[in-house]
Amino acid sequence: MKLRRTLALLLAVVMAFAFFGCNPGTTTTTGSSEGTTDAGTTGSQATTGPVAINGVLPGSHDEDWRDYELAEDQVLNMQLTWTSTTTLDPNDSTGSSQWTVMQAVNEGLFRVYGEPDSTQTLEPAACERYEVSPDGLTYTFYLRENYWSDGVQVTANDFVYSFKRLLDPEQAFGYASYAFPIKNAEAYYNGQASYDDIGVRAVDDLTFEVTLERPTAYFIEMMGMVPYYPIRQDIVEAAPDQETWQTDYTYHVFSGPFIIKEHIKENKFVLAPNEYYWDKENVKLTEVNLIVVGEMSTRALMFENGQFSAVEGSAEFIDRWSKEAENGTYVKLQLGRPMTGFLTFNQYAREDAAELGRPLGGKSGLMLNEKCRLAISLSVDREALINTVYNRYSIAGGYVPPGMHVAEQSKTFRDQVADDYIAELQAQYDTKEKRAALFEEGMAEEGVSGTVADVTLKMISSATTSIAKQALEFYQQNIYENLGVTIDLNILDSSLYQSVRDSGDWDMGFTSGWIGDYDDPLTMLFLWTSDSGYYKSFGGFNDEEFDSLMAQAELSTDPDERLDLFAQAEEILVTKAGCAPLYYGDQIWFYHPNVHNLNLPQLNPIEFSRVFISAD
Amino acid sequence: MLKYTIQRFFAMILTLIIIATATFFLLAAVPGDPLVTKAERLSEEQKERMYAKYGLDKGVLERYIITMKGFFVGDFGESITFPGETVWSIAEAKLPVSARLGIQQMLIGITVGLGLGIIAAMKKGTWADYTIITLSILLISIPHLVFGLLLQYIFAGGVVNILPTIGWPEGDELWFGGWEYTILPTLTGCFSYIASYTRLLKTSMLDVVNQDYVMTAESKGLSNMRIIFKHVLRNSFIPVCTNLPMSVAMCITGSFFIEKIFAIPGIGLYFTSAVQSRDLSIVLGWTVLISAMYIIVVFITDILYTVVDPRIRIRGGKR
Repeated sequence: MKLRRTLALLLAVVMAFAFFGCNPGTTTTTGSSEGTTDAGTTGSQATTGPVAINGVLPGSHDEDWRDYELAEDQVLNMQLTWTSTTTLDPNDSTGSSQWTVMQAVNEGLFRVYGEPDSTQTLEPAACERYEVSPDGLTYTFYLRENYWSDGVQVTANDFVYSFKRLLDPEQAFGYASYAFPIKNAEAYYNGQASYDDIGVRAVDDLTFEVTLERPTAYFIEMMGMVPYYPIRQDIVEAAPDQETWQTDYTYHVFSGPFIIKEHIKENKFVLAPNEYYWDKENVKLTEVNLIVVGEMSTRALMFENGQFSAVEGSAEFIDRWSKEAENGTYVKLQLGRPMTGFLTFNQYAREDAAELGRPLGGKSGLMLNEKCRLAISLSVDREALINTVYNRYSIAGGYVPPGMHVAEQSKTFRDQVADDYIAELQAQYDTKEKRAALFEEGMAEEGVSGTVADVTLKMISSATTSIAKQALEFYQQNIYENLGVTIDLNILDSSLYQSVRDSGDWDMGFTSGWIGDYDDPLTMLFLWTSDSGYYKSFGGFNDEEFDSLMAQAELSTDPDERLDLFAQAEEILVTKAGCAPLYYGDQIWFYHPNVHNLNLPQLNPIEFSRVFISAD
Repeated sequence: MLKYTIQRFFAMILTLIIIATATFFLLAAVPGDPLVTKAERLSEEQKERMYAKYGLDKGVLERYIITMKGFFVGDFGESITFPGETVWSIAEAKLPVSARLGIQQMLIGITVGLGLGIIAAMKKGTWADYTIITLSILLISIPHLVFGLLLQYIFAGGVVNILPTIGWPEGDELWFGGWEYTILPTLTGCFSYIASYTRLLKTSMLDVVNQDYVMTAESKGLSNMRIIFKHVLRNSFIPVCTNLPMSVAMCITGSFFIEKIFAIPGIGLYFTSAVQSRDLSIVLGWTVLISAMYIIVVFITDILYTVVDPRIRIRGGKR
């Protein structure tokens, strides 16, 4: 019944948040103080994971409301994080708050569900089933009978319009490039193909067909993403202008479980059930209030009062609530998230770097040397980092986080490829002297005289949260103690950070890492290909072998071959220290025990369409 | 008076142009741009396209000309951080909320502050005076954030649960009604007014008390009350009037933390985040609007001066 394929989609803004940490204490990547480490990040660790309550694992979304006595009030009150919630345009929504709302009021081809073992499943939603042609090029989605909130049937044309609109170069949507696997999509975006050439079409009202440029193993994994939700062309065109449609809910129709009843911008959404929804029988909530409460203490107060049904865990409260959760007062939901935190090294070596006057190999000139980078990577004590700074997350011994599958394989990448690279190398370079010798070897290769004691590396970050600042100081101290290199730490405001970063006048950076976009190691590894376009953000990594392995993996459709290619690429990235992977991420939520079916997908934001409130 | 008003009007326009220009170039000079966050995950090609979409690929001067053309027709452009929003659409939706919060704070804060100031001045040197002044220094030193959270904890759940934790009246109750929602935010904000106006009025009253005409009044045998309300108070109001425009401008922008703690859908968030994210159109628009407001309030206070102190005459042109 369920597609046992995990799926991983993304919240771009969680990333943006991770980068700039504009809301201390509430971002998923900025740490907390939770006693246990990384419960249930992988299947093998599930025994240390969530504790079942009445035989039901937290995070399960399979509870049947018929088995419970329902509370009279089926109202869910929840926080929205402090980000812009203005746009109601699925194609244009990038923030986790926007996605939370979009998931509730729209019905994509699939709905994404998080599982207690920290994986995700795609369940057919707007489509009942789909077929892939034997050559892997054509996907046919058979839509179910569903209606928009104005009574008009959802048709394949609504998907065609949305998919093509996503690619409109004039609109420059952030997610446009995610649709590039579609035939002629990239060409259209770059003005080399026409609108009609894009490989999507409505075969009939209920049959939607997508043709791909080439077989793309992870394509289906993206079909639960909000930017691919259907949009009604006549509704967009009926609004006075596009901006009004994007921001004013009264110009919208909804195909999802809920409709927007009220919206105060940057403040709250009130949702009500959609009477036209195909599965309205299983939508029990009569009202959902999503409220932006900026202050964590206030959110905590409201959660403890019962004014909020669920709240995202944040540093100062996790300890306390975890204890309460053991007593059964609250339910704690801690799931893995395919996210890796890492240190970056300035490795601009592109031809234009010299032309632009950027220093090669960073300010110190040493960052192009893999021995120097590796010595730094090995001198960070990841266990101490997890235990003393974050009190959550798990040690990254490799780069690809747990819970991520090589498309079409049933086991996760991490279950098949051990991530003991860092541990093995740390065993090999187990003293400060050995690491310093490695670093000095690198210095000699770069023609820099002196010892580690003479080296100062400029480290930059735009971190604003206290946890991130603690982490930065930890790295600074750790690298000095375990290697002997002095770190000149620069914490900059986000805009200033960007200009310093782009000037190339730095050696190391800390950005809180990268969250995967879809369930395939490609989404993590492609970042380090020399043409990924992220060389500015993450310092770049220029390794021909890595590039060639990634190019092969991108074109290959054989899962076993891809697994092998990714494993080789990862080893190169970690052992040549293209970056210094530090930890794998997680997410922690608390809710009241009478709340059922709260759904926490791995990469989509929290989802609540099938939530019901029991009487006790 | 009319001539004076016209003069003031043109001076205001000129001031606003200077302010807009300065704001524009300051923002242009500060490193970073509004698309940092938005474009962070995009590749270089996509970034270029996005910069072109918002006109940020153009030169500074070209952008300045476009901006100033917009300025004269009141079009500051679309927000980047809040797609689809303009200064005016934000003002329309959010200003009433912030205005009510500000007005309530000011009305209560200034009234109570002036009352306490009178008491402190009249009872100078007594325990009442010391208590009031010490308390006001204490209150002004507590940040809004701390004070708000404390009030919230005490009255909305932590100790007793008699007031709503968060929220703000909406719809028909936007201006009147839903008072229970406004109590804590108003209290949080009004203390800084109480504190500053208490001290302001006390100091200025003590100045006036030592004036000759007050002694004359005393020697005439007028009652204390009569002296205070007829002679002292009126004259001590001039520094208060001078302070008012600042308070008005502050009451709209200064409630950011209060709005954040109590989840009030006001203007504070927009302004703060616009500055942080270098959202030029919003920053520029707001700066101009608030400057205009400030200038208008200054003008009104100028007129108020003449009411408070008839010796002050406003005149246009040369004397």
